[in-house]
Amino acid sequence: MKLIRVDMTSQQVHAEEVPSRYAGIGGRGLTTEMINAEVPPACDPMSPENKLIFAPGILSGTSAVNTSRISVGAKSPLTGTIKESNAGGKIAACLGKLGITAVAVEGQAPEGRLFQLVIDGSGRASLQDAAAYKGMRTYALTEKLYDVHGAQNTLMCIGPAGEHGLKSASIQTTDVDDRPCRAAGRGGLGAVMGAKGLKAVVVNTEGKSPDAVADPETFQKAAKTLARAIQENPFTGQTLPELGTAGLVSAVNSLGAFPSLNATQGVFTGWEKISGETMAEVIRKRGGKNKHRGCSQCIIQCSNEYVDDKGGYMTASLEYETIWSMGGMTGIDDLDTIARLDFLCDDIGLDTMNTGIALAVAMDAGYKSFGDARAAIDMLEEIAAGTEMGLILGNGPAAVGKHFNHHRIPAVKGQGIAAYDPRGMQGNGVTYATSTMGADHTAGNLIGQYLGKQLDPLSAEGQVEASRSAQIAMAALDCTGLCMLAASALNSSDAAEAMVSLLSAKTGTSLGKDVMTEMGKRVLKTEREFNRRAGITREEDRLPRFFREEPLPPHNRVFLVEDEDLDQVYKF
Amino acid sequence: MITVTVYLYGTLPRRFEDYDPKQGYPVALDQGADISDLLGHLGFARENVAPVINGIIADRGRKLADGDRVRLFQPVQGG
Ligand code: SF4
Repeated sequence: MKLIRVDMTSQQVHAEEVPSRYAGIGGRGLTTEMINAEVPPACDPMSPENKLIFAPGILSGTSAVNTSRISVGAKSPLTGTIKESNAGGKIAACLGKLGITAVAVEGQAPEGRLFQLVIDGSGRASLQDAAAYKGMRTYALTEKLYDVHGAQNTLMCIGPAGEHGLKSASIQTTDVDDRPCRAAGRGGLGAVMGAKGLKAVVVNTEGKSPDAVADPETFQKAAKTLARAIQENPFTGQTLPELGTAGLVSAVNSLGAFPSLNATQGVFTGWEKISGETMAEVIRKRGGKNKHRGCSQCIIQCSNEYVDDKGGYMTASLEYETIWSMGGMTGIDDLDTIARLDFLCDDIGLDTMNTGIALAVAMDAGYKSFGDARAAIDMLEEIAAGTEMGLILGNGPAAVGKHFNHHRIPAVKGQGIAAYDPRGMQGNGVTYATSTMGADHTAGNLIGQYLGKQLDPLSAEGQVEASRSAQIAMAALDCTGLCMLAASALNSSDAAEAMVSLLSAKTGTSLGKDVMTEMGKRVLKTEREFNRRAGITREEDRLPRFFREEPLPPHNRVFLVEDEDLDQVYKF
Repeated sequence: MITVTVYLYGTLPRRFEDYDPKQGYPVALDQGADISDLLGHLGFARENVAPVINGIIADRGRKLADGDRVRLFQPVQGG
């Protein structure tokens, strides 16, 4: 139950007991609570007043499977809202095993200084100079840091994009193979880390002082039930291990909701070449890895290792959203190029989604042609080099649209949408418009309900209610540390009960069956409150006009949910 | 008789040794057959699969016409 506070201004680090007002919460619940209490809502996100909070989930560091998600929170320079972006890898489980509930990075290092935060096997944290790593890309940096600190560590770090303070900058973290390929991608949190003067966080993986589980027997029983549910669920037990999230390419194209060529088409001509089925086959033939474990304690293994035609490593893991943003949106129908773009984003420290959309807006505005692979790679290199155009591209789709005076900017509150077009999946549009985070599919995605025919994706009816429930459920899930994909198995009543038991047994409180809903509502209300105080109004809970005005082929629908109905999402 | 072409996704193609993803899987059915009949024919009657025709998720009672292309998906969540 340790909270580590790192003051970048004075370079003082101190550990304290978690104050009672933050007790019993974790992940997004904790980052949100701390930011709302400690960060002035109107502050400049790049100023010393902002705080960058790292918080593993409530269950991270326990024996429960798939619980190594770390939440990173701050006020976002991209959206101007409160932000939580979470990542997998090993770091959440490792912090949990050290008994660390959160790390709060505060203040700002003196101009030109760069530091790394090192947390050793007994949980002691110290700031060390990192001037030698200035400007380094994440793969080279990772290699260097493992040389210096040893293999018994896991990392979070930024690349050149974060150091340049770009609004699409990610924070990368190492996977189980120690590659910096997992990302807290959204919201430009890498820029906040860069502004603080923090290049990397190094965490020992051999911690043996996790917080005690209050009722270990009940916990073990529930953990087994959860693991069984994940194995028996067809999506988590079969589809994800075989195809990863890339399996969605076929489904969403077949439903006509795959925003392509900067959201002017709902089916990408050539999607079969970049589908999950094709990708898995290419990886298999070339001797890469499907069914790859990306994160600690994962029994699903949705990750993959994509290799070139000689079997050489290209990237890990190639995922649905990236295949879409770097493929469908830019018109590039070649998996090798998409893999290269994915690698470059991880290496430079960029959100693949926001960056792919930025490239697509530039192409749509006539700066380059759709489908031009060389141009896409060159544009990423410009971002890394920090050229004038690179800085515009690295600040995301809104900055690019403004530069070219182009109207079609698929973003809400500055953050690019995800791989589900609001005109083909209306409820996902409701989530993009109203999420406290800007456009964000992980805030409440309804694809499962559409494919299950519980909801018509093309009509306005029922979308507000469905999005509201999904947003509440996701806000709660983001507190627990459980991977969103694993959470797909919570739809059985056994698994949902097991989840409540796990939380009760861990925290030593008897929680009711509605605990998840209550937790989700509390988190969303706190985030809304912060955003309101930051000056965000309901006029910003809207999709860009073109979604209402330009019908999307093949269904030729526009976004149909009325503004007044969008304003009902937070009525709970 | 009518013939419809079935395209399989996810891990479904594994169940059919001769399945070719480019050609799809041709299935001959009686005139008036519906999606339920097709799923029964393929051995998917009791399974949770989503049939998609022309970009729309079809009901099990939807009648099939000669030449229809039916895409079959397993349940998914977001990613
Ligand atoms: S399913 Fe994928 S994202 Fe989730 S824990 Fe496993 S490897 Fe990580």
